[in-house]
Amino acid sequence: MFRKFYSKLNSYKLSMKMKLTLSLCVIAIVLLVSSVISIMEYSRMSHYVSDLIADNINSINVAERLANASNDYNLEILKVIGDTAKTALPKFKQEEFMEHCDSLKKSLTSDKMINLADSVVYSYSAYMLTSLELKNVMLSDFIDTRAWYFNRLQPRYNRLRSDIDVLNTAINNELKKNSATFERGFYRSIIPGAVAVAVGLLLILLLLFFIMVYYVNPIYKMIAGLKDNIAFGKKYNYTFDGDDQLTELNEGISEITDDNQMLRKRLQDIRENEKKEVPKD
Amino acid sequence: MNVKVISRNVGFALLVSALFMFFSVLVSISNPTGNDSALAALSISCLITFLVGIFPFIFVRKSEAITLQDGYMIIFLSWTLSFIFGMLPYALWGGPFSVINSLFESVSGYTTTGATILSNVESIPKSLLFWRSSTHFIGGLGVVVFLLLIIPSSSPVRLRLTNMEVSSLSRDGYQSRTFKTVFIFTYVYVGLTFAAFICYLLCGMSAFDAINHAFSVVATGGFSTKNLSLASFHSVSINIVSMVFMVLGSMHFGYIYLSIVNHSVKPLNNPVTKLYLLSMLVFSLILSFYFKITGIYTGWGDALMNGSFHVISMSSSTGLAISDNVTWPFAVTAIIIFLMIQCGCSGSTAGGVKCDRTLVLFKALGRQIRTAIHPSTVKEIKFGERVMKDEMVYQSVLYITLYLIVILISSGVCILSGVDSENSFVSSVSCLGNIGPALGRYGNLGNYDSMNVISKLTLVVDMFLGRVEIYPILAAFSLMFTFKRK
Repeated sequence: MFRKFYSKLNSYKLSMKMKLTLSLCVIAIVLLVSSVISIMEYSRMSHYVSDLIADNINSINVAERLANASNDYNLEILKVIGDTAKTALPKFKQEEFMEHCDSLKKSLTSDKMINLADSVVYSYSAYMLTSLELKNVMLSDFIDTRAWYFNRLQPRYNRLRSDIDVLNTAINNELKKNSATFERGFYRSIIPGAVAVAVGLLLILLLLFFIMVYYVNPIYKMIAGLKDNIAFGKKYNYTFDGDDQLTELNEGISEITDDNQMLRKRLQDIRENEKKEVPKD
Repeated sequence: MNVKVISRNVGFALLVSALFMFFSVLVSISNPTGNDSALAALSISCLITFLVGIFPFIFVRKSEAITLQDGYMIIFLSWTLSFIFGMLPYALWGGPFSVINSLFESVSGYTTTGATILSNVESIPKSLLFWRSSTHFIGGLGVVVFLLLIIPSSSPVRLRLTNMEVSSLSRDGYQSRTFKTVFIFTYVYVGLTFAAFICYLLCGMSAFDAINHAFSVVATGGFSTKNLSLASFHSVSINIVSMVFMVLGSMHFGYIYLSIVNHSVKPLNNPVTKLYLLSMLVFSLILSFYFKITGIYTGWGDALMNGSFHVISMSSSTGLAISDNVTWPFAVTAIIIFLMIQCGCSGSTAGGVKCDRTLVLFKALGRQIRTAIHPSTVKEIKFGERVMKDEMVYQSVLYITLYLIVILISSGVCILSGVDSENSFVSSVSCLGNIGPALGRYGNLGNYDSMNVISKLTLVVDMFLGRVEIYPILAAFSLMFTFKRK
């Protein structure tokens, strides 16, 4: 079945015009594919890069804000402890802090990073819970405020700070990793276009080869054959492989030159006969 | 060299690849959860491969007679361009597929090696997995055989290409007219694939897994759709079906055809098939016994299943697995390496030096020893009733020597590039024999991703050399240099 289809397909003749149109269409399609791929990859990469950088920068900013907020609150507590005249407890913008934490968790993608953000929230809860003891400590005559701070609150504060720092480092590492991924992605995005262009070049070279073999070289040889025929009366017998109009033209030229040669011969014979007949007269 | 006829025939080989890429696109579209992420990569690859394949047909309308040189170039370029265009879906999809990894996976697929760079096969889109298995199907039959199917039987092109693409041993072992050989190979190959597909379905595999594993098993490839290969199915029946089709896929297709046509196993009663089946039986028993007494597997059932499965998998050059070979001791490894070198019978999809040549080698050795003891006696080497010509013996021994030289060279290159000596050697043996898995981290449940670029490229060359039985590539290179000098 396949063989029948194949031989039927082979027997179908393509005209010269059709051959050139088809081959150029094939090259045009490859180039079109190449440009479509390039545009698609460009838009994909630009979206990917801007989203990636925006997410990472946002995460770094939020982590910084968390660090600053906890630092400010801790300084306020230190002021209260250092200044015996101050009795009012410092206020912490808890809702803002938690909002930052939530937005940070939303922007993080990997489980590892989300776990680190959870650790910050957990450390913060522990720190806040301990800081709430300050009011009772200040009222109490038995507990030394400074000792409470260094023994109870500062370890929790240090833990919170260290968790925020770890998260910050992790986000920075993620940014580095993402930029490496971006470089790889950039290289990847070139591949489809490069492949299509390489294929286009290959097809152009093949087209050049076929045009040379099937059209240019035969035309040169036909001209050489014609010149020989005209100049030296040599028989035109050039044939080449093909099934299109150029082959028909070559066959036509062959017939015409044959006829021409025959006519020239006849003419020559007539002239020779005429020459022979003249002395008789 | 006749570039016109070469480009036309190579173009046809690319059209076959484009057709299977199109089937993969259909798999992507028919995905019940929507188009998978490989649709664009496969569609672009299919279009590009089709356009390049069809291009020579616009100008070269008639298939002309080819010379021997043209034939070698057609085989060389058909395979090489199939590798290059076959890697496009992987490279365009991305993920773990860098350019080198894509080439490795493509060559591994077409040459039915089954070595992979994927650590998580199940994360790859189904359509891409189907394409991966399709390369096994195309390569199992041979990219040039597809071309032979449509060339008229009287054509000189057909005769020349059949002589070059189909192993000389298989042609001599199975007496048939050249034009018939290709059809017999194709009927048996497609028939076995279909039978394997049905058997897998009956054993409870999904249609997708069944078709992929059928392609893999009959082509003696080794790609699986699961991370744990066949071990993930935990099914004795699937293991048995795989073993049966691995054995059938590595036996001479001509003899299988005759057995089916004549309803008799008599055609299989020949020295090569007997040696092949006997070696598998003996080594299966040795391995199973070893597994049992060393306590690697506590039950006899497990020991027998693992022993026989891995012997069949390695000696048929498939490389599928039902357990990890990392912990296996050296004695087992030595047996496995011997099987990796010997592999299946000629006239099949198996790789390696082939059982036929091993038998010739042993018989030639026996004759040499007898001649040393009784110098005046004249001894012939017989294959059943047939007397082997000395020229055939010489060719077989030369091929085995060349095979071992290639192993040594490629192992050397891998060692120099930084891979440890044991893994370099076993990987080279495995890839040249088109088996796939080696040992350790490159073992049957491992992958080649961690290997450096030079070693990967060396193994790519090994796989190619192993698939076409070395000579056509050497001939093509020789022709290219001669052409340059001219």
